[in-house]
Amino acid sequence: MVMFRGLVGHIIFVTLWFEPTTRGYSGVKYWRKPLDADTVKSPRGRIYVIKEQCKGCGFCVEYCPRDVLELSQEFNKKGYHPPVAVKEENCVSCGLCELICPEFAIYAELIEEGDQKEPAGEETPGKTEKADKREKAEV
Amino acid sequence: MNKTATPTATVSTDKLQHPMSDLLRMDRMPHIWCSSCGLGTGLTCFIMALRESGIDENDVAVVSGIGCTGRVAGYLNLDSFHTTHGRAIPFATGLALANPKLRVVVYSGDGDIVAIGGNHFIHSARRNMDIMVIVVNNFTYGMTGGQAGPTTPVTAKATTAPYGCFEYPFNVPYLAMAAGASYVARWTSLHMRRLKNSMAEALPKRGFRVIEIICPCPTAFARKNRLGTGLDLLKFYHDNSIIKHGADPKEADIGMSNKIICGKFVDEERPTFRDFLTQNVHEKLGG
Amino acid sequence: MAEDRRVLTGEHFLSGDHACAEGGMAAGCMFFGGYPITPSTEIAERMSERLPEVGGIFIQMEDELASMNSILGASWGGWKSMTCTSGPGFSLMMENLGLGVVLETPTVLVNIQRGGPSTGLPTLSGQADMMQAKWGSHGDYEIIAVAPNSPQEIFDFTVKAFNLSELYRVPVLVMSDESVGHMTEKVVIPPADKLGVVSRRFTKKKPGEYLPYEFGEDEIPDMVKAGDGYRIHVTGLTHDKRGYPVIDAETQDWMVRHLINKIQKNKRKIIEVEEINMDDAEVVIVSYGISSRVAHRGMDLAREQGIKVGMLRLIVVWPFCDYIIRELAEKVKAFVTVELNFGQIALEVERCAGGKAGCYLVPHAGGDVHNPEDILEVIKEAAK
Repeated sequence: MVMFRGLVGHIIFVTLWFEPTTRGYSGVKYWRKPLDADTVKSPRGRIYVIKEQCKGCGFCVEYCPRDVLELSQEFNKKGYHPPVAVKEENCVSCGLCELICPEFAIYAELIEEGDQKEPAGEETPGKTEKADKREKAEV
Repeated sequence: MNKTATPTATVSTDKLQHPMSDLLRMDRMPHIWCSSCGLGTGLTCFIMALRESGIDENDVAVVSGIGCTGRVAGYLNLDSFHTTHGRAIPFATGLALANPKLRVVVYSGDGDIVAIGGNHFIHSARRNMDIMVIVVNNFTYGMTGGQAGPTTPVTAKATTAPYGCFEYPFNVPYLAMAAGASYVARWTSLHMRRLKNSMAEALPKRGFRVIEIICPCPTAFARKNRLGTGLDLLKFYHDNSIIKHGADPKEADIGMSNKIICGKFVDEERPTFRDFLTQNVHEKLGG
Repeated sequence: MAEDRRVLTGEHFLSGDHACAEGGMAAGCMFFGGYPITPSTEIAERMSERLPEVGGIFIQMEDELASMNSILGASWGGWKSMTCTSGPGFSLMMENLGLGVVLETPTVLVNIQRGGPSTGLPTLSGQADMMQAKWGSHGDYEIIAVAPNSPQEIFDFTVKAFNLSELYRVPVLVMSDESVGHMTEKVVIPPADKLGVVSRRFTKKKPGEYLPYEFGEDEIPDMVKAGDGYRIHVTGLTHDKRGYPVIDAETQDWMVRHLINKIQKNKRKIIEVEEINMDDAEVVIVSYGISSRVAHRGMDLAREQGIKVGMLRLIVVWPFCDYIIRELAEKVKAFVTVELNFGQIALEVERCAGGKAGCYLVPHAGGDVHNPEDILEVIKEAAK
């Protein structure tokens, strides 16, 4: 059975996430710098984590395309390790962490507009993500 | 652990307001779902999709059944109804027919919709009722501890299938298409943006729309079958799912040696129950 | 489609089933979700023809479970709704009848009883679902049930059932039987303004202030409907006044007490009986539905023989008129319950009589109505 072969049961959550090599993606490791990186300005974002809602699943850490996040060593009240932005300068406010987080515990806020307002074309028909729909959070 | 960079993210607890909080019942957060359960991801996609679709939020009614997925109704700040097991679709039928302005969404699990609710599912599809059904498929009855269900793959272990499930599972998109649904799509909870787009596209449409979300159940399904955590299952979806829009749903079954085929399979507007009612009854009466 | 098609004022010659459908129409029903089952099918058939005339919707659902749920959904969408069934379908509707009670949804369920149990006698009468009407769904709850005994009454009582359900926010049962459903008699439908139709009390509070299950002295919460911006959440789980599920004993106590008190506290306003020849009665016949018509004959035969018999005909069967029986038990010699079953309401009579009066039953398995002579025999026994 293809589906169940080859997966090892990792019951312990914490130890796995911090090795950058253990990725689900097959190509993200080889992140190359875009050719026009020096001429185009990327948007910048700031991460907000609602610590007490986090359940330490690690989705945001794993799937952030810019490797901004890692699970911290601190505990929240329930004993989980919430994420923390370790490479915040990389954050482009793509909104993936906000979308994938099952706990409504993390979101990014756009602090600097980049040159490209619309994201690149998407495969499925439908409206593209509008960054301005997200409200400014109160700290 | 790599701690060389100084974290600069603002990390706080009660003072932060999540951008989706106006559509959530924040007084009931954090929700009851397990760590690394995929339900929350599906819900964030739904909320974003609702916003993007431009539909008036006061016109949306969410009906759910029983199960982990059924709890979705309780967390959404919309008119929501948490009904009995399997009966979300007929309840939604009454609601939609009594108030045509409502956009009714049924958000429930695989057991709720295609096992006990199977009869209602196929008949509402047949009638092309104007409701949207989001079927969250985690291959098990999660809330009650991980029993086998009609979507549990063959050889998977479950609490009521200790020797491995030997019943052939339903292929939900195929079932939906065969019964007459006008929009059928399947995504995993990893395909968040595509799922969100699919929901945003389907919400304003008319007719019986079905979106199946394949989602991890770490505590019941994954644990019983030694599949790891929700993150391991997401990685599995990444490696084993392919997107094939317009594929024949007949080939989209999940089991033995197939990949998980995702995409939009059916998208054809057909006259709905109400259209036929108006045409065949109300117009004949001269109204 | 016009409102003037809603109430067919005038004199008609209608079967019980058709009269029931007209009662629903007159009361303002806009939605019918049902499934055909003998002997109630004619109600569905008539509704399928009549509802579209006023812009309502008839839908034949795939089974009784769907029917029950669709009428609850329609009620939350703001429409008055009803369904009809018989014994086997009644059993199927039980779980979701409970949902209707817990969500406090106004709706009407008509049970044209037939011989049971199981498939039983589809085309013949019975009254053996009476206890099921009260206890059929799981858990502690209270419900209202009426028992008409003629096509005229089934029209009137269906209107009454709608009024009671709207007033008390509870599903109301019309417990009729095949004999009444299939008999054809004169039915007088009054003009619309004489009907006394009542509708649910919608809240005057604004969204944000309104709580779905907050109530005052009368224990009846104000209602809303989906789509009005109140963003309510209601659930079949035990819930508090916000409508949110709370799983603990304290909330369970609050909620169950409320569901019971809502009917019990208002009992004296809900209960209705008809008293015939009760002034000097020593033996009281307790009956309802078709059996009450035969029992009336039995009473007349007994009176001819000098026995002082009166009749207490139950119009509202649930909540049961316990205080009436208790009061009578002090004065009379015996109660004789006449029903088409082996003792269901008879048990209630016995419970309430508290041993102070004799309790007799004239049983019948169903399929036919009683013989007045059999009733006479039991009355004579009771009068000794």
